[in-house]
Formats: sequence, C-alpha cells, structure tokens
Amino acid sequence: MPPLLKMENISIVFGGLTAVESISFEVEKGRIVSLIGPNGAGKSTVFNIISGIYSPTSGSVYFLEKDITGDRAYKITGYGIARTFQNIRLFKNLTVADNVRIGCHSRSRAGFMGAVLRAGRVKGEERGITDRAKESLAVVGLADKSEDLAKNLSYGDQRKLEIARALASSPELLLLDEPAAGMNAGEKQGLMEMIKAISHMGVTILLVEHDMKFVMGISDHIIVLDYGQIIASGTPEEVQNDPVVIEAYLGKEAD
Amino acid sequence: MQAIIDITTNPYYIQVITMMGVYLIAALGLNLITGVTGQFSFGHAAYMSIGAYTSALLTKNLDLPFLLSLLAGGLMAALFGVILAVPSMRLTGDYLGITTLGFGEIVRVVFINMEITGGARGLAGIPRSTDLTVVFILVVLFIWALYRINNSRFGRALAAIREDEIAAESMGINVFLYKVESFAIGTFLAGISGGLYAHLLQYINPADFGFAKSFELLNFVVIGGLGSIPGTVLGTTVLSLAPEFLRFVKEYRMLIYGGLMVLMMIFRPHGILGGVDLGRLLRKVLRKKPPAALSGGN
Ligand SMILES: Nc1ncnc2c1ncn2[C@@H]1O[C@H](COP(=O)(O)OP(=O)(O)O)[C@@H](O)[C@H]1O
Ligand SMILES: [Mg+2]
Repeated sequence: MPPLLKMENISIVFGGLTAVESISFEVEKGRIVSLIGPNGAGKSTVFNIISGIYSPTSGSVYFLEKDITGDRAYKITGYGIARTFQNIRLFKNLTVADNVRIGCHSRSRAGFMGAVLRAGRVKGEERGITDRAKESLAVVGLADKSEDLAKNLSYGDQRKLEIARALASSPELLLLDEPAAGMNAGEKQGLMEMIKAISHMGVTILLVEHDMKFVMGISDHIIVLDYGQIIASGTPEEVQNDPVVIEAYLGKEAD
Repeated sequence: MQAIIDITTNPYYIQVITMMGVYLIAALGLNLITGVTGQFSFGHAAYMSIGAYTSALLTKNLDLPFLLSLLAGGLMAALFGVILAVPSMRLTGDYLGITTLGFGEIVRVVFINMEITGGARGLAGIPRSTDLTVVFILVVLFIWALYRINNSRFGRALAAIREDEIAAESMGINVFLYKVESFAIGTFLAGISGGLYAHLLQYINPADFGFAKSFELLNFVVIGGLGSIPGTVLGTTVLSLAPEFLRFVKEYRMLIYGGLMVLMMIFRPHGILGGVDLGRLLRKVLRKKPPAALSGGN
C-alpha cells in the first residue's frame, strides 16, 4: 500500500535561515507517528508545510500519491488533512458549537445564495453539519459546553476543542502540534486515550509533543528532528536507545 | 402622544425616518464587511454614490423603472466593490483601511469631473420615487437575509475570517474568495442605499458622499456594536435621528461623533450591543440545568 503522506527532500529557507533541510519521511495509513526534537528544530514548520500555510523552498509533498506541494491551505484541508495549532488559534468569540461547525466547512457546500434561500437541500446540509459537530465534540468530551464561547473554556478544553474542530473535517490525516502542552498529568492521560480512540476510528495521526512519556506511550513510529534535519527515526525503543538522539535531545532532558 | 401623531403625519418627520432607513441599509452592508468579516472599509459612502448616480441616470435619462434602477445601482456598486477587493484583500488592517479611504476619494473626484453626472454641480431633477413604504420593506427584507447569512455556513465562514484568518484557511475556507463575496454583498447594499437616497432627495452631489459620510456610517456600526444587527439598527437610529431633533448635535456633529468613537473604544470596544448574542443568551437561559450532583467533576 502506498504511504498516506510522503515528504520528499523538503527544505524551507526564511531569509538566511534554513529552518528545514532536505527532510524525507513517510507516514503509513493507520499509524500514530511522532515528530520530536528540541525547541526550534523545525517541527511546527514541517506541519505548516504539510498543511499549506508555508510553501517549501524545495522538495515535494505527496498525499495519497498526489503532489500537493504549494497548494493553498484550504484545499489541503479538503484533501483530508486537518491540524491543530501549537499556539491555540480558536475562533474565540464564537461558541464551541460554531467553532466545530466551521470545521465542517470543507465537507459542505452551501454558499451565499444557499444561506438566504435556505432550500431543503441546504437545511439538510445544516442538520448534517450540526450532527457532525456534535459527534466531534462527543469524541473530545465537550458536548455539554457547546453553547459556551470558545474563549471562556479552560486551557485544556481549548486544546480539546481544537482537536474536535479538526476532526469535524473528517480528516484522513490529523496533525496535532503539542496537544498536551499546558495540561496536567490527569489531563494528559485522558488526552492519550482520546488520541488512541481517534486512531481506532481510522484516522492517521502525526503528532508533535515534548512529553517523552506521552510520546513513547502512544507512538508506532518516531522521527527525531534537530536543527531542521532528521537525525534518527524508528520505533520508540530504537529511538530511545539511539546514541545520536540521546546526545542531541534526550541527553539534554535527562541532565 | 402628540409627539407620536406628529411623527406619523408630519412630512418632515416622515422624510427624516425614511432617510434613517436609507442609511440603515448602507450601515447593514458595512456591518457585514467590517463587523462580521472584520475588514476595514473607510470608503463606504463612495459605493453609495456609485449606486446613487447609476440609478438616478437610469431613471432620469432612460426611464428605467425605479426598482430596476435600484438593482442596477446595487450591482454597479458591487462590481466596483469587487474591483477594489480583488487586489486589496491580501492587505490587512491599516493598509486595507488606507486603500479603501483612497478609493473613496478617487470616486468622489471622478464624479466631480464627469460630464454626465453634472460634475461638481451635481445631478438634479431625479424623480421622487423613494418613500417610507419601499424603504421599510427593503430594510425588513435585508435584515431578514442578513440574519439568515449570519446563521449559515457562509456567515460562519465570514466570522471565522474575522476571528483568525490562518485558522479559517486551515478549516478549508477560501479566505480570499469569502472576503471578496463579503465586500460584494456589503457594497451592493450601499449601492441600493445610494439609489434610494437619490430618489428621495431628487438631487445628488459628489460632496454628499465624501469621507465625512463614510465616517458617519462607520460610527453607526461601531457605536451599536460591530457585527451585531440589532446594534447596527440601534446605532443608526440614535445617531441619525439625534442631529434632527437636537440642534446642538447637528452643529457639533463631527465633534460628537469623534468623541463618542473615542469613548466607545475605551469603555466598550465591542459597541453597545457587541458580543451580545440574544439567541445564545436565550438558549442558555432556557436550557435545562443538570442536577447539581451531576454537574461536578469536569
Ligand atoms: N515564518 C517564519 N519566519 C522566519 N523564521 C521562522 C518562521 N517560522 C519558523 N521560523 C524559524 O524556523 C525555526 C523552526 O521553528 P519551528 O518550526 O517553530 O520549531 P519547533 O516547532 O520545532 O519548535 C526557528 O528557528 C524559527 O524561528
Ligand atoms: Mg513548534
């Protein structure tokens, strides 16, 4: 089976700085893959390239064998790639329900005329959107907060809402950028179960996370990034025992 | 009581209220662009003028039926709205503000120098076709349509753009296209408003649609509450009636508007009704609360 996502010799240069240099890796369908590395290693930049926020300076991104390099972000969401943001980017002044409804955008069609005329087809679509939003909120356990404003949620709940909003687009591939950041141990445990449940629903997951216990406990495969380059990759055991990784990354943590 | 009778029978008051409705239509359009979609527009009166001249010339010179001329004025304004929006929607904040401001001035200067519009002397002899009934029907129709927009996939996409463009694009929203659509609808409403204005006053002049008018429209929207339809209605009602009934307000109009704007920015940046969603409040109040014993633990 071809890989779901294939990154081929991806580089990106900002001004004089090469943030990501000749990165190649693949993500197979159904896996939970983690991207780890010290701060500034280029993990979020890789996410921004996959999701179309940045266009790589060179190299290609393939999704289901289709070249999607440089396509606009809104199109990439339509192909089936959804994401969350390291710095939470919710629609703060909208309700939890509306945030997730907006997540359904790429799976619905009604435009301006549909809004005004509200024909039967459009009403049906709206019901579908509301149902899909409810399902997504149930997955992350926020169903009872659907009428709250996003900005009034706790930090942990805001992170969960980002996941629900991304799920609403029915993605094949879900990119999670530091979903556990700022959560306490109990919340992290819950989040881990949640990500496993999402994975069981058939969604492939690419994860950036700093918490090593979290990463080792959940990943099928780990890719280690340092100074914009891949320095190691493999199973959690392989990566944990790799001297290069210990030197570059885990060593610093262990000190 | 006497006051109510006066207002409903006195032609002067009817004129004032009709004019208020005319401005309300333009303000509702601006609210969609600035309040809902979050895009600055400092040249909204220019689109009123495009609608005003287009429809006036069509009824005056070509005997086009009034309502058709209104529609043509609205479409012409929207066309120019799109022509401005396509290159400038990649700009944000201040830059977009300055571009729209500049566009407004260009339109005014073009009308001053155009032969067919009567130049700086203006255009007179426009048939008086606008009345309170037409304006009232159109106001109700547009408010109804805008409510539907706000509660739709389309309207949610506009609000998402206001809240966070990058997140909106990442949710599958073609931000550029939706901004242009928002501009088209908002400027269409300004064009309709301009057509009504021309056929109410029977005389138009480029000076009627300068920056001061654009600023006034922005005030109507900001004071009531950016993004809120009831807020726009409230802001337009209070600010367009006050100068008619309070003499000192008329004399110091710009000063008072400026002062109000500053006060609002400081004390209530979202406007009087901004951030108040009546529907959401009601749903919250009406929703059954779970028993206290069950609501803990999350
Ligand atoms: N838009 C940008 N402009 C300039 N430099 C950037 C930009 N985005 C990221 N960088 C730089 O790229 C490097 C990698 O950043 P990032 O991908 O955010 O790291 P990580 O997520 O691994 O902590 C950093 O040096 C950062 O400053
Ligand atoms: Mg990062």
